[in-house]
Amino acid sequence: MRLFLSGVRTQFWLIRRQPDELLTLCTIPFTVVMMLSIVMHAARPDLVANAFLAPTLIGLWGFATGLATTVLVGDRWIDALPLGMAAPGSLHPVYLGRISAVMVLGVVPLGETWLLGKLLFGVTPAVHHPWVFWAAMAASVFAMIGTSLLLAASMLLSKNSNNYLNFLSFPIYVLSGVMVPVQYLPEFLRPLSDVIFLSWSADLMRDAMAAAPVTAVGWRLLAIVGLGVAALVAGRVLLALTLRRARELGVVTYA
Amino acid sequence: MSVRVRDLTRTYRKGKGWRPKGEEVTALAGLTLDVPANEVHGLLGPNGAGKTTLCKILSTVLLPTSGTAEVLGHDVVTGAAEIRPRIGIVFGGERGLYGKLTARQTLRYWASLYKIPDAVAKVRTGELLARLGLADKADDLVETFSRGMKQRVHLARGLVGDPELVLFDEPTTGMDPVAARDFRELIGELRDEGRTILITTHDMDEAEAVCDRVTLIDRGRVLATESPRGLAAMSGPHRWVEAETSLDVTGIPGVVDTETRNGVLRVKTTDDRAARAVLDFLLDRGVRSVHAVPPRLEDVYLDLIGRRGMEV
Ligand SMILES: Nc1ncnc2c1ncn2[C@@H]1O[C@H](COP(=O)(O)OP(=O)(O)O)[C@@H](O)[C@H]1O
Ligand SMILES: [Mg+2]
Repeated sequence: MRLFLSGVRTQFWLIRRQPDELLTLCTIPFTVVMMLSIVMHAARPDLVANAFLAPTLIGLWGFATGLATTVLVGDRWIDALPLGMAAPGSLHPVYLGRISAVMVLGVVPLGETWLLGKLLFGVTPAVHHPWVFWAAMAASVFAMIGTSLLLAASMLLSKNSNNYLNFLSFPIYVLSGVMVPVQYLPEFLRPLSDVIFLSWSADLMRDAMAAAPVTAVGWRLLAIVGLGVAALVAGRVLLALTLRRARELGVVTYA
Repeated sequence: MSVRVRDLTRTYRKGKGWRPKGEEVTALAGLTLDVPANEVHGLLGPNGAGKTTLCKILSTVLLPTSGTAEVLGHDVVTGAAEIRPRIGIVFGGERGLYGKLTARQTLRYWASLYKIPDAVAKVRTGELLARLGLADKADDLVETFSRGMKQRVHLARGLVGDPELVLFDEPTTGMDPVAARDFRELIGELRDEGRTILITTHDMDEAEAVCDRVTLIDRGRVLATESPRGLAAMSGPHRWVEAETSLDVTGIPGVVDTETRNGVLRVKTTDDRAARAVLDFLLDRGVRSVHAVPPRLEDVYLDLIGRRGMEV
């Protein structure tokens, strides 16, 4: 736990000095404008909730891929990884702490989106089930932390993993239904959506904003958290394997 | 014994993939070495000799291929968890630091990885920063530091766990002369505090100045382990003459090699008689300040290894 907290603290120190890393926040207005102008001009008030959710969740994912998942490759880049391996403390709680610190900031896009909607378009969506909404957001942040650890560990495997990650983002936006609800997607893509926690998040949050009662809240939250735990465990195992292999081979990448 | 290494080998494989299958490169080829507690031990050798590989194995970040290595009584493979809290590592250069942390934050971060309680870490961080002359820059970002200051942050980082054994891998590469002198003083202090020090270097003068004993390694093998003075005696019958002159002595029988540094000519001769002849030759031509000098570690090194791999 101490190592985790030290990771959190260190990442806050790093971010404070690196405001350019918060560039993700600057891309959000564009998504907000795009989504809301489409919805407003099409006169589809039923889709307003969707237009608010997209920038929020894309912002969360953006923080994860832009900042959280690069903590390990970043340390490899500056040659801090072998120094960490030589230290008595284990590395995964430290990196998990650093990732968590970033993802706590992942809530900021939510506020930013609401604010921009009000300022630019004069709309704020109704949230009919605020508790469900916030529970879904919290579960999503947790799942994003787990997923980021997995992505961060995977990124060690390649030398130019940033390219893969950028490539990954758009399919994730589509499959997770943050842009367009999953039920509008071609049938064969749905199973893929089911294993992406963001699709559960988007669905549940959309329902939480609608007036109709939300069904199966517990199960759906569990799905988000469960997928997050799975990613967390997988990330931890992959990191351990990668570090063990580095100790055997003397190299961290494999491609 | 702080370090006990027996028949240590390490090979790397080239190639890609999770398990590379390419050509094998031998970095250590049956190395045996003992470093008693509280000794300052130098590892000298050309580029590619295997010095860094040995340091990595001793610091438990790399596994041996065969043979054994014990650090502070624990095996590097099975006892890594016991070794790690008790050793410090300083790998040369400026890399490995976060530019966006201050010197103090850097030490606090690493103190946590060395599992030092926060209250202790706070005090120790302050002490180390003061000791390494970083006190008034403690809260500046590391990225604003000069190369020499970054190296001092590295030194402080390596000492944050209050290690019994410190491994230095080329710590003075690129250090300016003043910093290098401070570094030698620091090594002396660390020894006085009872720590053991293993230091790899290219710099013979440095090894001669700080080391109790040095080990010469080449191609992953030990050529000799001796005190710097003892090692110097290994250069056989060769004798050296130094003089402030620009005269050409290469024609004199028995002159093996000449070299001029800072206006001082240094002549290597086959034996006493040849050295005598060079002395006479120079004195006859009115050259003042002519001396027969003892061999330097560098001379022995060149005798045993040659000029290969001296470039940094
Ligand atoms: N990760 C690695 N993969 C393949 N070969 C390596 C690796 N690290 C070192 N080597 C090789 O092992 C030999 C010893 O290297 P090293 O231990 O770095 O020597 P030194 O520090 O004395 O210069 C060299 O031939 C080097 O090329
Ligand atoms: Mg080296």
